[in-house]
Amino acid sequence: MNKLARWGLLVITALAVVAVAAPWLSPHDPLAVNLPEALLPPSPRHWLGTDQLGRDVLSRLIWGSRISLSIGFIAVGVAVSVGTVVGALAGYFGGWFDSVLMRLVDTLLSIPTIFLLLAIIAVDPAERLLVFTTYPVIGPFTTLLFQWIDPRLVVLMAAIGLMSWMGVARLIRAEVLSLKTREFVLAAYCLGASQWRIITKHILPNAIGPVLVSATLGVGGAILTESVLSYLGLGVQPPTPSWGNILNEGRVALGVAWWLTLSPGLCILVTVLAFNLAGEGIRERLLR
Amino acid sequence: MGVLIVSLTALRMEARAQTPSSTETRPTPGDALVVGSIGDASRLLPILTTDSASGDIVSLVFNGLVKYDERLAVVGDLAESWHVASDGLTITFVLRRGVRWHDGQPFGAEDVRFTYEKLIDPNVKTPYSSSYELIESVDVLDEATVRVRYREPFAPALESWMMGIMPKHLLGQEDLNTTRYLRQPIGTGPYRFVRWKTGELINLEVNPDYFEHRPYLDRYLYRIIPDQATLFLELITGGVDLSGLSPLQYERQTKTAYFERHYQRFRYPSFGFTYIGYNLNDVRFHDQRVRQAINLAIDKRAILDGILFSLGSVATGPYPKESWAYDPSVVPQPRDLDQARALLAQAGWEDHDGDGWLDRDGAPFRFTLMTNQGNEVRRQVAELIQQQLKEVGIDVRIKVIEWSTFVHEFIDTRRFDAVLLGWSLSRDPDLYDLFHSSKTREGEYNFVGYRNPEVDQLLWAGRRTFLQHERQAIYRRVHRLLYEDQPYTFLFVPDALPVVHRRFRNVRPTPIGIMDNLIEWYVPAPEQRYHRMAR
Amino acid sequence: MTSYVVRRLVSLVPVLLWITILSFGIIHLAPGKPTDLAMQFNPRVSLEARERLTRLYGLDQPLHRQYLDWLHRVIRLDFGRSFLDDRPVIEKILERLPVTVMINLLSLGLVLVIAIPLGVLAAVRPHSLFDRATTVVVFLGYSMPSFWLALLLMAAFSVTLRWFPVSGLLSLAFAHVEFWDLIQHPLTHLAAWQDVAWHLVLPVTVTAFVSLAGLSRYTRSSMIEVLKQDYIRTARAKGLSERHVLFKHGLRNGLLPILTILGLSLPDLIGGSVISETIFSVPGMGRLFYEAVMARDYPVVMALVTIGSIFTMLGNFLADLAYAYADPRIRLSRETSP
Repeated sequence: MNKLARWGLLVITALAVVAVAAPWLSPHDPLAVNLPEALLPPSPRHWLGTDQLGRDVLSRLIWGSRISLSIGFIAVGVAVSVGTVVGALAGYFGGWFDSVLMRLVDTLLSIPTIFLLLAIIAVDPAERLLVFTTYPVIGPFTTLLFQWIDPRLVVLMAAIGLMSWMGVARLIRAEVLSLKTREFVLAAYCLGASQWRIITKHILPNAIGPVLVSATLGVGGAILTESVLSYLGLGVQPPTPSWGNILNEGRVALGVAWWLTLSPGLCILVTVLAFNLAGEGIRERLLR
Repeated sequence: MGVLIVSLTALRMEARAQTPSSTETRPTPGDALVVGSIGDASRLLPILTTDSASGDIVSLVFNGLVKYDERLAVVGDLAESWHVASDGLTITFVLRRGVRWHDGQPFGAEDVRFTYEKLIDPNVKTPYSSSYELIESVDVLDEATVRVRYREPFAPALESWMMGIMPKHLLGQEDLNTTRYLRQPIGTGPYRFVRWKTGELINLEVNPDYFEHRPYLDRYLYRIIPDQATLFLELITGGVDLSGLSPLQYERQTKTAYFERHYQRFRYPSFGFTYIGYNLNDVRFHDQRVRQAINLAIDKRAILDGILFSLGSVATGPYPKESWAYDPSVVPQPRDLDQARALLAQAGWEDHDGDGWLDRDGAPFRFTLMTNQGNEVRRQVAELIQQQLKEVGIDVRIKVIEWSTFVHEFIDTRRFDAVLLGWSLSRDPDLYDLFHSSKTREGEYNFVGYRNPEVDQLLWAGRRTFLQHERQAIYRRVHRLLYEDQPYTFLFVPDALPVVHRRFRNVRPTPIGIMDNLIEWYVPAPEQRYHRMAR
Repeated sequence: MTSYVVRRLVSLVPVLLWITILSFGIIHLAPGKPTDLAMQFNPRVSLEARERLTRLYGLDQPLHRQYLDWLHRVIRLDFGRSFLDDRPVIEKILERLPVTVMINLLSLGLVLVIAIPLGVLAAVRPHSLFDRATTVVVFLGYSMPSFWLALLLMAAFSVTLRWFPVSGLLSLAFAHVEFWDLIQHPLTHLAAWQDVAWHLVLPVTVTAFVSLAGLSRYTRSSMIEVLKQDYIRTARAKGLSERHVLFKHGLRNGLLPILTILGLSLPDLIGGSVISETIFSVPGMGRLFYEAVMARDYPVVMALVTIGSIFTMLGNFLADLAYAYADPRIRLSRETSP
């Protein structure tokens, strides 16, 4: 794999380590408000300075990596899951089923994405999500989930994911269409394999390639989308730190505290760049 | 039956005395004032403006019958004088003579009646009709005299006549909802409308025939700059002459030598306050002891000093210190965590399970504090309150919500625990709409659900008398009662922090702002920046 | 070919209808009403006044009636009046459209001029230092939040160096010039045009930098594919100069897919970035849309979504068309198949 992509993967791994090890790596409590120490420049005590409420920026960035990475992965997870199901079904079964699904995909692709997002988030169904905890089977799981992540965050992540499943669906469908006619699939069919088995055991594993590329690039995109939403005031809620909202909070203090703008921006830049380079690398690998 | 001259004011007919502060030179006409605004205007007719940007422009293009002077007294604007009858039911305005509209036509009593008719017209999309619905009739006695008859005495009436008067000869035949005069207003004010480049700029030029005197500044340019950070950058590069600063900018970004040399900073209390509003129908907040405990647990001084850099004052009620309705004997209680815990314990809240949070009947004391998106200071205040209440064992969750959703989904429907908001109030101390128990329907402003019969009675009485000393006693008592009852925890009154380029002279801060004497501002000839701008 | 075109166009209509229904549903189901923003929580505005306004806007009608009313008017090309200021929606759109289109065209031009050569050169020497360096630079633009870049550029070039104005479209010296004047009578306003150019340098740079990656990578991969083809090898074997091979044979085929990209970016021409426009105080389509959504200004939102969707579908359609035309296999097969 080319050097750039390897560098990208290295950064991603390092980031994952930081995110998991946040409680041990972070020098201060990211939520500890300490007004007398507000807006301090970088110093030995606070390597990246403090924000308007006196909280240590480095700690907030480290904990923020958890949020930003989770958003990326979950959003992409949602996008890939939904997109794969829709695309595979449309591509495999074809006919009017295919037309209807693809019509839906086209429709959703034509609606401006910001609009969809605003609508989903403004609806703020977080409270309504709590209803799921009362359901018999998925109840305990959702309760656990909501204790670990704030339901509003889940909504945010799902929303970003729901914006991008359409592209995945198209990709999968195209791959499935081309794979459907290949010999090994026909062979499996002749041997009596069920539809389900053919799709999951033979077709999908071979269609994974472009999806992997799109997923990797998607994580970067989701992180950027989160920062855009924070600028618009619709991102992660205070006081939970995310790179996007640290960047947005620091924006107004640009003249006074450049470190509040520079550091989260650089974090986002480096991370998204890493994902993009890695994704490109995977794409190159696939083409060979 | 005498005629009672309103004791709220001394009629001042003499010309304004020139403030001796900064007149090194005689006022010279010329130059332009460039003001930066985050929002664009939407409608430039006085009875239809709802946003502050439209309000800013309308206040320069139109006049009301009366206005406030820098001492918060009501003085004449288009009205030369007025009499309030002893029964408080009739106000007779004597209008100035010789006032002309910007198109040259004469102003008269017909215009006043026309404005009133449109205010109560159900087909006009004006939100201000309620202040005029108690009017029984508006009669034109002659071209310079208007008599307004009310069904009941209504003290805030005078303030309602600060509404800009519109020209009947131009708007009489128009549909006010869609007329082109919404975007090309013609008024009587010190500045005339020139041009509106939507989303960019509103251009006003001086009205040389203004009835007080010709303002010295030739132009007023209202630049629309929607981003806070960009606005500040424009200020420091000279693209904008006047702008409001955030406490952070005032305190930390404008103390450089460069800034001192080029700009003058002002600071005066704004007429509003920031508060926590409790949902009084929520069983937790229904108990007065709980609200008083929270009031004791929040360190407002720390909020003011830490987040607002001390640029404001702690509030104990809905009136700022400068208001005559403010009761100076209501003193803010200092932070007292022990007393707070004691009160909470009396209400049944103690840490029974030792997890650090107060609980009662097995449930922890946890509530969600909601505030609106777009206000940095408020967000930080919420986070600080969260921290402070944690020390007494209350778990506060914060929710920042987009404004329209906030109002519609949570406030109107009363689905909230507590909200962190601010009110920006008019100078008249009538708070009927906020605290009277009848104003609790969906969409009305007593959304906390406050019911206190004594306050109800006081608010009702305060509206019906025009006697200043009576009203003062009434509203001071309201202030005290509100502080004791704590339907809101009153947090602070923020200072307004405008900054103006140094070349402008005669700029002075007053309780009603710095713009009230805009017509006196001037720039000495050698310092003028903008010369002869094309229309 | 024509039957194909007609069939495709006809199939777009139901999609458009579905888009409008879906958008209408979303914007109405989102909480909040247009009257909320207008009231701005002013105690002097009573409940009765709000209710009266609700009626005047027709918001008390059932949803499907509101939709049908809207559809009825839109078919006659009447997009109604904005709830924010009662102006005809078309007017509001037309006054913002030129600026946005101009910024997007300039940005597109800049991207084409930079991205294509970069992509081609990188394709000629894949995995070289040049290729890797340009990859990183180009991805940088794609990987950073655009408002961060905008702020940094503004702080560096407008505030510190004072090379460019901070924000806006025109300096105050040209406060009397309307944008439409500039377009209709360009020659009489040369000085104003220069002023506009100066104001647009930073916004166009930010917009372009962010989109550089897509086009240059696409060009690169397309060219690499083409350069691997047999006919290129033949051309080289025939002894033609590298330049001849590249320009005469390589580019012509490699750049064909670019057309599809251009087609797909048609809707972007009229779409503005709300963030870029907010930071640079440019009154464009992005801000119009965002402000309309936040204020629940339904007529404006619906108009913008409809127009935007039409452009998107048109763009997709043109891209497909270009591709079908360019690839003789598809073109010919369409004509022969039933």
